[in-house]
Amino acid sequence: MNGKILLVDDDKKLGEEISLTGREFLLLSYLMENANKIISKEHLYEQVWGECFSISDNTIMVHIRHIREKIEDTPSTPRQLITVKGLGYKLKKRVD
Amino acid sequence: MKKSGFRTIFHVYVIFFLSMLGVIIVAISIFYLLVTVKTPNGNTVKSDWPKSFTKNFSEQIVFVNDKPQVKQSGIESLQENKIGLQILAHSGNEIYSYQKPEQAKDTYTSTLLQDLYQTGQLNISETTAFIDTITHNKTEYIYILYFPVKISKINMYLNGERFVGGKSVILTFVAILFIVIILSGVVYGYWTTKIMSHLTVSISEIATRRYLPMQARGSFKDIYDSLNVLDTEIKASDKIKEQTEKMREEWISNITHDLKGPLSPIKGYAELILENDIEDEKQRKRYAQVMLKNVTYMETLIHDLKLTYQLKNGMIPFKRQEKNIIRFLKELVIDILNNPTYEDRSIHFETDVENILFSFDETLFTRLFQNLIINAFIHGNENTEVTLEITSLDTVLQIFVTDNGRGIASEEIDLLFQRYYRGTKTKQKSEGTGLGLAISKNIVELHGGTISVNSVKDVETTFQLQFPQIKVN
Repeated sequence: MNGKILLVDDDKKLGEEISLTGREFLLLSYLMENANKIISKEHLYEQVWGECFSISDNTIMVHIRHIREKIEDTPSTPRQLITVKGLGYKLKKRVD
Repeated sequence: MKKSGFRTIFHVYVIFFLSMLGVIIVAISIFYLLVTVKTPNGNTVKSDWPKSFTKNFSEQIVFVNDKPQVKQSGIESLQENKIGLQILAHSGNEIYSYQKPEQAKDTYTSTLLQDLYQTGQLNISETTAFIDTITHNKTEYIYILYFPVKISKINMYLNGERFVGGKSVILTFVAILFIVIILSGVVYGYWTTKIMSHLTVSISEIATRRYLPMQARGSFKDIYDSLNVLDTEIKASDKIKEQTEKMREEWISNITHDLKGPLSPIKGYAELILENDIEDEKQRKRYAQVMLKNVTYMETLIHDLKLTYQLKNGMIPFKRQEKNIIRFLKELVIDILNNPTYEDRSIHFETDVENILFSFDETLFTRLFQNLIINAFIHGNENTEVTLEITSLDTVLQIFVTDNGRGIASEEIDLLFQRYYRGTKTKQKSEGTGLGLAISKNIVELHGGTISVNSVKDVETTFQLQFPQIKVN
């Protein structure tokens, strides 16, 4: 299942359409619904996959990386979809 | 405790005394049995009765025409006691007899007489012979009395000098021994009484708190040791009671003070609303808001008070469930950081495993860790950061809550967990009830754990929590 999403960005990528896989779409939309809030990766997993999080699962990390590649200017140093060390991920409403 | 000396002395004395008593009783019984005999009449007589009877019987013998006769009284006596009689002439020939036993001879040689005198035996069972002499007209006559009892005659050949002198020595010795025993009994009794009265005084001193611990002496050492211990216990208990009283008074005064606080604006604004006509809707709403805020604060305070009591006395419905404590704490920290008040704060979450199963009550642990973390923010400044470090050692779950805030002065550290201690340097308006840490401590202890705090002033503060856990495999 694929989805399309409209990103409104203060910076360059105004009104750009990006293409996401199903999972990526679910992940990102959940993060957007809880913008500015830290979500743990276990919680994200449970939300998107509907199963209990199993230990040492890198799935989330991989998906987050993919999303970053699609929405971040510099995916390796994300400014929107940030990692809060030890806790989880956070999608910030505004950059800067 | 080692057996006290006085008990040993007492035992020794009792044993000695009883043995002596026993020996004396046995000796007396044996002696009694030996020196009495039972006559055929059924009387019990002394064993030397036959001897004296024989001696006295000479009065019963009279001479008629140079021939011996026995008085009527004598005959009667012989009959009564079933005693046989033989009177012999100097030569040893029998010249008179009465009731004599069959085995009695007619003639006795002097050897035979000697023998008879020595032993009194005549080869007749149950008969013993006694001999004496009677003189008439310068002629000696011998008479033999045959008694129906068995008497043994013993001849002892003793050292003459020693026997005579010895008797008095032994008697003296026994008398002295006896006196010594009696005296030592008296002394012992006196000594014990003195110790007892001293003990009684000491005990009453303990009760009136005037007791001075004394170095126990000698044989009553363990009693005095016990008294010393008792006194220490009582004084410790007194101290605890005093402290408890003091704490209770402080508590009550703090509560009254703290409840008064919010009551005053409530009263004030209520009066305002009552008195004035407030046209301004906004103003009325503002007043009501302030009142409600204070009411809420009072409710929180009362709720916290109740909680401390319930926790302390184990009255809280307390449900432990096994969960992943790492996940739990992670979500708890996330919740704090997702709160607008703390969204700019930093909380570092450090653990080397993703999953530690631990049995705990979720509600209480939420309270516990929220208390610790938010406390750190309140007592620090806006840049204060908190670090949560979780490790599982063999049988212990260890959690550190560290902050780099202002630290706690050493004199305040001891008071930290006491109920109702607020700390002296809270910059922010204290929203808390002051019971936070006390509640936290109670929650930790309810889970069988311990909590301690280390702090370096102006550098950092660390709370160390340790919980026992049963390690599976």
